[in-house]
Amino acid sequence: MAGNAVGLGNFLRFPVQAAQNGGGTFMIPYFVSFLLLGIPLMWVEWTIGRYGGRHGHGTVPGMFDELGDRKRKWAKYLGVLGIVMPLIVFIYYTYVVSWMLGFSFFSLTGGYFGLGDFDQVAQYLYSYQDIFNTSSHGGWVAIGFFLATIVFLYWVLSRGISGGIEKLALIGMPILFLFAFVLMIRVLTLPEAAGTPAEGLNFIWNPEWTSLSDAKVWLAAAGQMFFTLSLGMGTIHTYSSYLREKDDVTLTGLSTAATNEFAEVVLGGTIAIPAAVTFFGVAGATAIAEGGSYDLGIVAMGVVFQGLPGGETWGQLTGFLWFFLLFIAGITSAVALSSPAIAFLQEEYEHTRKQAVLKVMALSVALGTLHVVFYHRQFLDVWDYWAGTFGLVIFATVEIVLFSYVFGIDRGWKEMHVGADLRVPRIYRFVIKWVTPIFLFVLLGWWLVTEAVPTLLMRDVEDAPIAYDPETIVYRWFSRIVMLGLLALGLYMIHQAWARKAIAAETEPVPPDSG
Amino acid sequence: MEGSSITPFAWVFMVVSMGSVTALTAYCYYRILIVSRKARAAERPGGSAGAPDS
Repeated sequence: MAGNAVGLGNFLRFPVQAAQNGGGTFMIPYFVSFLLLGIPLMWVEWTIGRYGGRHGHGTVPGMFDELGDRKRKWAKYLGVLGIVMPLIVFIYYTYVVSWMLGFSFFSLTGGYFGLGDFDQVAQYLYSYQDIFNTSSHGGWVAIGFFLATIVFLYWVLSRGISGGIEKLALIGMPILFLFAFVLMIRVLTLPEAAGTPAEGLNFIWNPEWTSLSDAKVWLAAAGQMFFTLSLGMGTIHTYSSYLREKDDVTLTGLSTAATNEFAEVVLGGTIAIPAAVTFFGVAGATAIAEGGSYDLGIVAMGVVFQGLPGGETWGQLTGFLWFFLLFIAGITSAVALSSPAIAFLQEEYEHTRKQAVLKVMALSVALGTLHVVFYHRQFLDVWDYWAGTFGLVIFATVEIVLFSYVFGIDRGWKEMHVGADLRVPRIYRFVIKWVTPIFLFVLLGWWLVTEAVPTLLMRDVEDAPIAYDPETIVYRWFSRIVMLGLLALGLYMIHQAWARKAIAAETEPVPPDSG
Repeated sequence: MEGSSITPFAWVFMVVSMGSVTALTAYCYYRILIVSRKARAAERPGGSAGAPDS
């Protein structure tokens, strides 16, 4: 599970979120979110998943129905978030993962070598991402790597998780950690350019206290916490539904969270931002971060690999290995993100695994192509904001209320400790019942008051999460409508699945009275 | 690296944060190690959890 949690979120998304939200200012709500949202929700999700699995449910609608003792008919519909949200993230995330495949190829072939300037590497990336910008790449390049990633994912998913990707992750993840450590040392010893590595560290660890009252920073920190720990997505629920009744969830949940935080804070935070600040200064690094949710790490590392001692060949090999390991890490996360939708089709619509995988992948190709074509119109950023940040907070709020108040904290706490290898400190019983739900409601309320209307209407507000651009407004609405369409489809499918169950229950022959 | 460009607060914040995350990770893996050793000991014929190695 730690292999699933460690991914592009740690090395690419985290630095961008931190840079976009004031560096050190972001880190305070980030750690508060880890203690009050990340850790408790990790335990809650593992517990709900194992409980649901014991009652024959592998996805969130069935689990929420079970949490309400099957008496609350609305509960299963709320579970739509645990199917559609990971599917939405899966679709755009697969496109981002394909960039890693592309950049591992460009590293090996020396495609961006010779572009020593940070701005030139950024332009090289933008030409790849924007199929209409052919300054460095033809439009087919991004589409080609996206389709190659889809084919690879299809192959991995059809074989099953334990068929190969698990073994690949077991070998790849320690190498990725070791490699990140070496890169961290290299970044910290970079010579002075537009800035210094120390200025980069100062940017990420020196908070601006006045900006802490900005709801956007808190929402971004909470959203990153959910994204990086795969919380509020339904993936942990599906994975933990395979656990046995007495399998531990407390130590496993905490270990997953801790490993991910180590990768993100210690390694991820000490690579991309200090490198970007060194090459481009604080203002330049922030500007690159504003350009896209994943750009900073790719561009910064593209420059770092060119400056490695040992010559160009060594730099190319190092770049290839780094981006390919990130590709593998991304694939393991993508496999997890697709699992709720696949499990839902298998469980509720009696699909074989191959049928379910084929349908999910076909949808991903269709909608993923929209991301490839309209990336430069911020199609992906809109999904990343509404599903990858806001949607996760909404889902987490729903599930914590169901767990603490519908299922009941007493039952939940007891269930959590069945077979536990670690006794959760009792303070967390209070946190799960009161602090986490209140924190989430305050966060959402604060966002509604300060940002909801301007963000929804895409008004030109200072520091808006998605920058206003009149030319792309139509595409952004289109992007939102596609997401809403997926949500409506999910609700309809849940309704149909339960209607079929009701008919099956009515037509089931009544067993003869044994008395 | 020019240490002077990091403020004292940033140093403290960085060291405490990274130290805490590293310590938590190490503690988790230590606990996993203990649990798996106990489980292996219990699986051995005639073994019991926590039995000293012979």
